[in-house]
Amino acid sequence: MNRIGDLGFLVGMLLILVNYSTLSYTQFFDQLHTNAGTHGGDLYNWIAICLFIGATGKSAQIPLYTWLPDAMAGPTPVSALIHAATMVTAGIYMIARSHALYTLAPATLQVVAIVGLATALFAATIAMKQYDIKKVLAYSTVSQLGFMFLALGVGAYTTAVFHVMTHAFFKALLFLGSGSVIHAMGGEQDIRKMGGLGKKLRITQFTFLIGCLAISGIPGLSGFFSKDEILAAAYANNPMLYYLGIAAAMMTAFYMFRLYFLTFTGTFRGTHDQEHHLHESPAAMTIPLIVLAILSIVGGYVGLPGVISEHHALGSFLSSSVSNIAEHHLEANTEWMLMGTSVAASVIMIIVAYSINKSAQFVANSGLAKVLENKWYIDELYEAVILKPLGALSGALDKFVERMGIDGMVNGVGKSVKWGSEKVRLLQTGQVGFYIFVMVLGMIALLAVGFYCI
Amino acid sequence: MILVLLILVPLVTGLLSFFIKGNGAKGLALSSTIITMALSAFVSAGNFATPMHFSVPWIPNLGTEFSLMADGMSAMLCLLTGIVMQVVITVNWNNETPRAGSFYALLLLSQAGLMGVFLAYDALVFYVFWELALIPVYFLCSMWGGEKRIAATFKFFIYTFVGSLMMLAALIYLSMQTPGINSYSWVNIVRSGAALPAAQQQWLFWLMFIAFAIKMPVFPFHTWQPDAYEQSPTPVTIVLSALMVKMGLYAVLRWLYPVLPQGFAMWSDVVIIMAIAGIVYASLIAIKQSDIKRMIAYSSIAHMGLMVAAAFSVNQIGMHGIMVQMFNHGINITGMWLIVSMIENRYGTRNMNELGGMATTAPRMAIAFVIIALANVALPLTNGFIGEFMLFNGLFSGGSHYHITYMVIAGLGVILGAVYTLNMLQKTVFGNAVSMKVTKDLSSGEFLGLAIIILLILVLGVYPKPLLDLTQGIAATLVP
Repeated sequence: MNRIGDLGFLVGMLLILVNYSTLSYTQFFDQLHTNAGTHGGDLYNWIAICLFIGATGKSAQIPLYTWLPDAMAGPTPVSALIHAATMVTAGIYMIARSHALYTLAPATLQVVAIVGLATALFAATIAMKQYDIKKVLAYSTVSQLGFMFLALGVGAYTTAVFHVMTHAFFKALLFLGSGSVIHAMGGEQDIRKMGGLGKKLRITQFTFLIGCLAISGIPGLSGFFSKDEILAAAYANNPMLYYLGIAAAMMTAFYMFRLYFLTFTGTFRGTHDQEHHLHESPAAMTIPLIVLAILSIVGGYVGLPGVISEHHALGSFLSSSVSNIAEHHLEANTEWMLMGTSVAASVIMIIVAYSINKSAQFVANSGLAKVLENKWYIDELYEAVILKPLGALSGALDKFVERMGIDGMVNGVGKSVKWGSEKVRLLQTGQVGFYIFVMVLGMIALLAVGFYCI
Repeated sequence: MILVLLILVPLVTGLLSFFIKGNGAKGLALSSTIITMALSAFVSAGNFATPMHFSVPWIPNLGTEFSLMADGMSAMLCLLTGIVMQVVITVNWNNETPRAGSFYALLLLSQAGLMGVFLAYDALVFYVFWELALIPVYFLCSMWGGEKRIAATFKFFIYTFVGSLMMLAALIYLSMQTPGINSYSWVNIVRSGAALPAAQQQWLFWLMFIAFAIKMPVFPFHTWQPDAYEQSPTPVTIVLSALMVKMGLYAVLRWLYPVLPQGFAMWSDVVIIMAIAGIVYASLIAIKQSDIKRMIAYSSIAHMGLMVAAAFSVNQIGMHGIMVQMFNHGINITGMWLIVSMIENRYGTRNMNELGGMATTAPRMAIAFVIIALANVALPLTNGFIGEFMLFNGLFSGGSHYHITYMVIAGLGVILGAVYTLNMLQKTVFGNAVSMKVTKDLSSGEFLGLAIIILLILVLGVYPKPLLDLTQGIAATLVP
C-alpha cells in the first residue's frame, strides 16, 4: 500500500525536479511565489495530486487505508506510535508544509477535502461494528485522519496541524490504555469478552474516559477545540461539508463510548481465569497514561476559537511557516451555534451508546451491520479485484508466454534444426549410384542457370 | 601496467590452480582475489581526469593491438568484480567443493575475462575477453550445476554464442571501414561507426545490441537466464548475475552508444519499450515463483530493465544513475544469492512454501536477509534507493515523447517488486519454524562475507558520494 503511494510521490517529486530543477522546500516555494503563473495551473494540479497520492498511502486515506488496521499486529506501543503521533501524520505534515503549492491548485484541494471527508465517514462506520479493541481504535485513527485532510482541503492548514497535535495526545492515550487493558486480560483483545474492567483498573478506566471525551469533542478537552475549528472551517467553505462532518463526529462519539461502556462497565464476560488475573498495570504503564490524559485536557488551549479569545497561540507559533488560506469570517453567533450543534450531537450519541450497550448482548450481525463488521468487504474486494487477478496473470504469463511462447520458440528452433539434420542425413545413403545421380542433377541445374543468365 | 596486472593476476593464479589439489586451491584463490581487489581499489582511487592507458602491439596485420584503458566506469566495474569475487570465495570457505582445483581455476579465469572486458580498448581484445569470460562459466555450470544443468547450460551457451558471433560480425564490418593501422582500436571504431550513414547504423545496431541484450538480459531475450541461474552452483550464479550482466550494459555504453549514435537514437524508443515491458513482465512472473532462486532471477531482469531504459533515455542523470546502480545491483544481488545458498545448505530446499521461521532458528541470517532484501527493493537509506531514484529521474527527463508514461509504468515494477520481495520475506523469515539440517547460524566465513555486503549497502545508502564522484566524469563524457 505504502509503495503505491510512494510511486505517486516519486512522480510528483520528479515533476518538481524537472520543472523547477530543485527539491529544496525553500527554493521551490520561492519559485512558486516569484514565478506564479509562468506554468499552467495544470502543472500545479498534477504535482499536487501526485504528492497527495503519496499522502493517501502514508496517512491511510481511501483507497489506500487498509494497511493501517492490519498493521495492528505490532505491539501496542508501536501501534500507539504509528497511529497516533508520528508516522501517519507525515502525509498531513507534507501537505501543510507544501501549502504554497496547494493554494495554487484549488481543484486538488477539493479532491483532498472530499477524500478526507469520505474517509472520515467510511472508517467511522466500520469502527462502529468492530469487536477488537485495537481495530476500533485503528479505524478511529483513519477516520480522524480523514478530518485532518478535510481541514487541509478547505485550506485550514494550521487547523489540520492543530488536530494532528491534539489527536496525538488522546489517541496515544487511548492506545496505551488499550494496551493496559489487553495486558490485564492476558492478551485478549475481543471486547465481547471484557466488561466491568473499571472496578479493577481504576486509573486505566479514568484516563481512557478522558481520551474518549476528548475525541468525542466534549467542551473543555483538547479534541473539542481542534475538531470544532475544522468543522467551522468546513462550514465557511461549504455547509454540506459541515453537515457530513457532524455525522462523522457523531459516529465517533458513538463508537468510542460503545468501546468504553463495553470494556469498563457492566459485568465481566471473560473466562474465570482471566477474571482472576485482572489487575491494574504497574506504574511504568499508568504514569504515561496520566501524563497523556493531562495533555489531552489542556492540549486544546493553545488554539482557542475566535469567539472566546483573539489569540490563537498555535496559529501564531506556526504563522512563520504556514497559515490558513483565509480566516473564516463567521458571525460570532453562527460560530456559537455550530459549536452547540456539534456538542449536542456528541452528547446525544454518548447517551445512545450508553443505552444500547448498558446491557451487553451479542447476536450474530445481519444486514448492514454484518457488512460493517466485515469492513464493507473491502479487503475481500481488493483480494478479488487486484490480488487474485494478479496471481492468475502471473501464473498465466509464466505458463503460456514464458514457457510455451518464448521458450517454445527457442526450443522449436532447436528442434527444427535437429529435425532438418535428421532428414538431410538420410541423403547420405552410401550408394555411389545415388551420389552420381545427384551429381548429374546438380550439373544440369548449373548448366541451366548458366544458360539462362548469360 | 597496473591494468595488465588486474587481468594477469587472476589469469596466472587461475592457470596454476588447475594443478593444485584440495585446500591449496582455495587459499590460492582467496589470496589472488584479495590482491586483485586491492589493485582494483587502487585503480579506483585514482584521478580520472585523464584515463589510464596501456598498449602493446598484438597482431599488427589485423590492425589490432593489446590496448587497455580505465576511466571511472571501467574502474568502478573492476572494483565491483574485485569485491564480489573476494566475497564469493570468502563465503564459500567452509564448503567442500569437489574437484576444488578446477573449480577455483575456472572461477579465476572468468574473473580475468571480466576484467579484460571492462578494460579493453580494442574491439578484438574486447571480443576475446568477452568469450574468455563466458567459457569458464559454461564449464562451471555444466560440471558443478544442478540436475538439469546440461540443458540449461546448453541453452545458455547457444544463446550467448549466437549473440557473440553477431557482435563479431558487426565489429569486423566496422573495422573494415577504416582499414590500416589499429583499425580495431576504440577510437577508430567510433570514428568509422559514427561516419556511417543512418541506414547502415540501423542494422548494425541490432547486430550488436542483440549480443548485449542477451547478456543483460533484456526481454524477450531472457529465457536462458532463470534456468541458468537456477541450475548453476551459487558462486557461478553470482558471477553471472552480479558481474556478467554488467558486461552487457557496459558494452552498450562503451561499444554501442558512442559507436552508432544515429542507430542508437533511432531505436531508443523500441528498446525502452522492450525494457519496460520486461520490467513489468518479469515482476509479474516473479510473484508466482515459489523457488527463491527463480524469483530473484526474474527480479534481476526487472532491475536490469530499468537500467537499460535509463541508458536509452540518454541524459546525464540517468547515465550517472546507471553507473551507481550497476555497482549497487551487483552488491545487493550477491547478498541475495549468498543468503539463498545458505538457506539451501541449512534447510535443503529453496521452495519458499516449505520454509519459515528463520527469525527464530537463525536470527543473524534472518537480519542479514531482511536488510539485503530491502536494499533489493530500493528502500531509502539503502544503496539501492539512490541508484533507483537517479534512474527514474533519468527516465523521466528523457527526450522521448512518452517519457512520463515510461516512468510510471516502470514504477509499477517497483510496486510489484515490493509485493514479491515482502511475500518472500514473510514466508521464509517469519511463520512456523522449519527444522534445519545444519543447526548453525552463520559460520565465520559467511559472517564476514555478509558483513562486507551489508556494510556497503548501508554506507553507500547513507553516503554515496565516493561512488558518485568516481563515476561523475564518465556520465558527463557520455552525455555532454
